[in-house]
Amino acid sequence: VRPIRTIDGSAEVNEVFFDEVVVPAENLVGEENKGWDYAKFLLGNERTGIARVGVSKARLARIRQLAALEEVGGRRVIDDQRFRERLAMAEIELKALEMTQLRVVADERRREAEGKPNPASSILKLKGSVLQQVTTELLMDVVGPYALPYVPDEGGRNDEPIGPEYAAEAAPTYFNWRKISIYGGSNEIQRNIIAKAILGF
Amino acid sequence: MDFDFSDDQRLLKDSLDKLVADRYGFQQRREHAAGPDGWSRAMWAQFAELGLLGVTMPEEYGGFGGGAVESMIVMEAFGRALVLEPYLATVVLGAGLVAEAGSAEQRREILPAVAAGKRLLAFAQVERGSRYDLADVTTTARQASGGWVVDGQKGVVLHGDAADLLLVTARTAGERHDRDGVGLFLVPAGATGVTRRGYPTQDGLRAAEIAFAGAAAVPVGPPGGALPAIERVVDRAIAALCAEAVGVMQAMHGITVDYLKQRRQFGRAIGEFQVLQHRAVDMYVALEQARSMALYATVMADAAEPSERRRAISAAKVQIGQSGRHIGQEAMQLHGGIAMTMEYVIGHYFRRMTMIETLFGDTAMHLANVASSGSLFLA
Repeated sequence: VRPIRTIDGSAEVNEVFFDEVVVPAENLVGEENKGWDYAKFLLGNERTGIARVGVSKARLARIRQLAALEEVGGRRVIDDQRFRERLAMAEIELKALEMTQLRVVADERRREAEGKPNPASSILKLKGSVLQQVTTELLMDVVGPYALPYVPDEGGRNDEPIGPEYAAEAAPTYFNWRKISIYGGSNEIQRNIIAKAILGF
Repeated sequence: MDFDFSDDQRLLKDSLDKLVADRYGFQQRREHAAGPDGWSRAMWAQFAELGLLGVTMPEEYGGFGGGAVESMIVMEAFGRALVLEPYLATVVLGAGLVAEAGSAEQRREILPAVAAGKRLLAFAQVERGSRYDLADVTTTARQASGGWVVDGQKGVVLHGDAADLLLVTARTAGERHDRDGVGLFLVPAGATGVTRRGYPTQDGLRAAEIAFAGAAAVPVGPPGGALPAIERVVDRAIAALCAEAVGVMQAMHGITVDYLKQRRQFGRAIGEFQVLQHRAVDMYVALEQARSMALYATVMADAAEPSERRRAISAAKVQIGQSGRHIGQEAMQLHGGIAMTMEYVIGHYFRRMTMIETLFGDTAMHLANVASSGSLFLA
């Protein structure tokens, strides 16, 4: 197992090498040669969960708190009309996504008999990933210059934070969250799925 | 949350789908528009016969006691067909105001006649310079010889040219922008002192500039305190417009996708190009986000807390505005030159979508509303 360092400084992914590893037959999950079916089912559910409306809500609430602490031009960031409108726009899109998710979940109940994931779950991935990224961008914009210091994730260190404590995670989170529109089937793949399964191209 | 319609609501939707499929194709719409009013009295009579004009009215006044969901179902179908008749003006706004603020006698007098298709109403609110501020009223109402008289100028009164009765906002006290002192008054359109100039609007509907010079008027609700009731009705009208917009967007998207599959160029259907497929997908995502917010507006249209209701309605109007521009502009672009012609349908949808954005507050105004009213999530 070889850790892979990502652009936010963490190492949450790894390269894993298998070299003639013997696996006992009872470790086979489900039936033989059905792996792709299981994976597709998993991916359909992953897309529903991947919208992460709750995570974005929590981050927007955090942004609202921090925007009341940070100042720009002698005023709180939260009192800046342009900032408030950016925040409002993110909330509106998130509310819309929350409603879309509820619609998909309600529809999922109806579809359960068929056992097929709703292709509309691709919308959740597409929109949810972009909104998560929007919130990380807003967070970084709120903290301003103290987004800059880089503290490598080396474990065991307990240094005095540079600048406000909440600032340290802003840029790494922004960097790390770029993955959201790439994994779980990239957003371009989601568009292909919607084009084929819903629009009939 | 339950998104299923009741049996009655499903019936309503089915009968509307059938009505617009049978009577409101693009060519039929052109015929409706060619009539002397710019819309069809025969269609209006049919709406009455089907119960559509009373669907949201209390049963005691000849209605079916429906609410925001029924209004959404009607408006979405009307959006898909680009219906020209004065439903928003007469039923949603006019009858809505009478039901909300009127006396029992006014309701008995007006609502059954509206439900029967025998009376048309219009809401005279906009003034030159008021933009979207419902409290910005310079038209005055004063008491004179036992009654009230109204003086002032109202503009862009939706379907004001055909209305029998006008519901006019007028100031009885206070300064130009004060919330207190705004009243709502009924003025028969044919009364002495009322001058109307009707005209077509960009979306093929109708409106009027209306001048009041000492016109006799009757107050609807408290003469100086009608604003809260007006705001409730306008918020319902915005929810209704959001539903209509979803119908418009759905039609634009569906027509565009069909066109991409049929139109051939370079030896293949242009819909085979991935770049165009992805743009059609982005339109679809915008449509579904808009549908979700129209639903949210419908759910919140009768929320008890005015600021909570307002915030939700504004949020929906912003989403509708954003999605509408995106879908409309892309529908035009993906069609190419044909979209620019009056002969083809897509431009008519584009025109209506664009004008919906200017009704009861544009995207910028509603975004500013949401931005200044706290979080959508900390309720």
